Amino acid sequence: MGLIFFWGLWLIVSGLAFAVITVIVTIKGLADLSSMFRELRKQQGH
Amino acid sequence: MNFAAIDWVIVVTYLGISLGMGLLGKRYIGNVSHYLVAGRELGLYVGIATLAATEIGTITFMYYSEFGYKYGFSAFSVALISGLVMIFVGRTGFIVKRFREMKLMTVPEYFELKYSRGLRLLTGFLVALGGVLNMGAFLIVEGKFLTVVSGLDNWHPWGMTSHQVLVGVMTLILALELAYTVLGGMVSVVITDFLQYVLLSTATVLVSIYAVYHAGWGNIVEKVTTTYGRAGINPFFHPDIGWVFLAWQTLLWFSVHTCWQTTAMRMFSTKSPETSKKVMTWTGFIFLGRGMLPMLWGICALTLFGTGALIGGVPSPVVHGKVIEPLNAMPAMLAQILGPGIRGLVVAGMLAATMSVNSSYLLGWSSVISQDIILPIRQFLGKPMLSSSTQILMNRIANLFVSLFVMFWGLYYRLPDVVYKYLNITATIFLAGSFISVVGGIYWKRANTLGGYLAMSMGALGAIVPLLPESFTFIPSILRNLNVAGFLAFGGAMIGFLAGSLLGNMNNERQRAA
Repeated sequence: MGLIFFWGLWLIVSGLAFAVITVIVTIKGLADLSSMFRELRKQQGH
Repeated sequence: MNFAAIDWVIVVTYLGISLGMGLLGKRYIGNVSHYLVAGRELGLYVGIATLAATEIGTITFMYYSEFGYKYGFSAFSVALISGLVMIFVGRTGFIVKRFREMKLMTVPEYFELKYSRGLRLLTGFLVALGGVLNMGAFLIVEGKFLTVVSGLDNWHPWGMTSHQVLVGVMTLILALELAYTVLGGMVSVVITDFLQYVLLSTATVLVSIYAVYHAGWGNIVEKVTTTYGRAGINPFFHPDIGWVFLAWQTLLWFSVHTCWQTTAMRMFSTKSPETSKKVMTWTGFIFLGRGMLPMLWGICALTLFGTGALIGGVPSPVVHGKVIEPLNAMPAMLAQILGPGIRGLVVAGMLAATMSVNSSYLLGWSSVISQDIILPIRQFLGKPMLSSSTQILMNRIANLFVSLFVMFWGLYYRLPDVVYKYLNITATIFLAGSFISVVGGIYWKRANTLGGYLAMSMGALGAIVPLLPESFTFIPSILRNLNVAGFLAFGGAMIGFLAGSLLGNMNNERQRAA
């Protein structure tokens, strides 16, 4: 039963990490994308 | 047909938006650096999104769920290794930081900078061979997933067979991702990856909740323990896993996270070496879920459908009285447990995953063909450098070539019993040698070109042997065991590298003394 508890615990950790990072990336990634476009436009201008 | 009208509306809307966003990327393509590494302007969050989206596809869900179905909780050991190794690489900057500092565009490029142009050409050839063979499994597996979940496998318009419908779905997937990858390169891939990451992650979380809710945690534990016993819980006791496989997996995941072309391209595209480390670290946490969650779906499918006759100790899945392949158990489960609307959302998420992976892989392998095979050959022949626009054109042609190969390989090659192991062994063809050569090149002063040649050749040989036809009866059966072959490929590459480097240095010293 010890190993089943071990796998269960890792499942919870991995599921939560997956969900939380997704929320953060979704919110903050848009600003990153617009910054990338701005820099690419600058590079094209040069 | 399992799809309701609302499901089709969701899927078609997603495809339209994704294609439109992808085509937007063409505006920002000024030179080959924009095309291949997005002008090295990736920030942390988009970096995480594109790296995760690139390495999470329907193919990932399919092979991991098959792994979970066949190996129970023991399968989780592989996911744990992949995530923890990635976090370690990110925290320490092992290889990736140095790669980013060198401003590379492809992994084989490093071999010319450190060793020789000839070794870059050999590495480029092996990377393209292993990469394209690896991707050859994608379309057929993804096509199976989509036809089973949507119910298209039981739909026969104009008298078409199920196989013809499958080919139609594969062609459609390929055409859609080619449309924007060929035109917009890495910029398009990054834009669509972001949308696709959000969708696929939402779908992953939703499916995990639905699957556990329907199967029940108590039933899951009981099914695994009664079906597989101790082997289903402890990977060291599983005859198909064991320490040799786990050792191979550890080496393989170190090499994937550092030298795998599509992953490395994300590291090359980040704003700075520090950003590359952070992207790698945080994506490592996502990688834990990337493996464990679909494996859990496979275990849930085992719990719900694993009632058929045992084949190799694994119960065949039975759905509505019909025996199906273990690979198709997970999509069959989704078709049953998800309601209208949710099913469309999940399939859109899986399509997103499919397109993000395939577009990145098309770009990754075609960039190696153009930059590391065609360009060095031209240089050997004394031909002038190509302009940036001609290089982009060459990449686009290579893209089309890879796509056609993937389509035909998927249709005509019969995949081995466990798809995950096929993908691992084809990756090992170039990863064993390139990982050892890169580690040696960066961290060992005596590394030299002869060592690099021997590492690449011996690593590739070890991994190619089990893929040779069965009619080659002179090959010992132990070398056809994928676990042993994968582990030996890394061992052979290391021995070759050490021997070549030590011998090469001796020769150099002799030459200097003379």
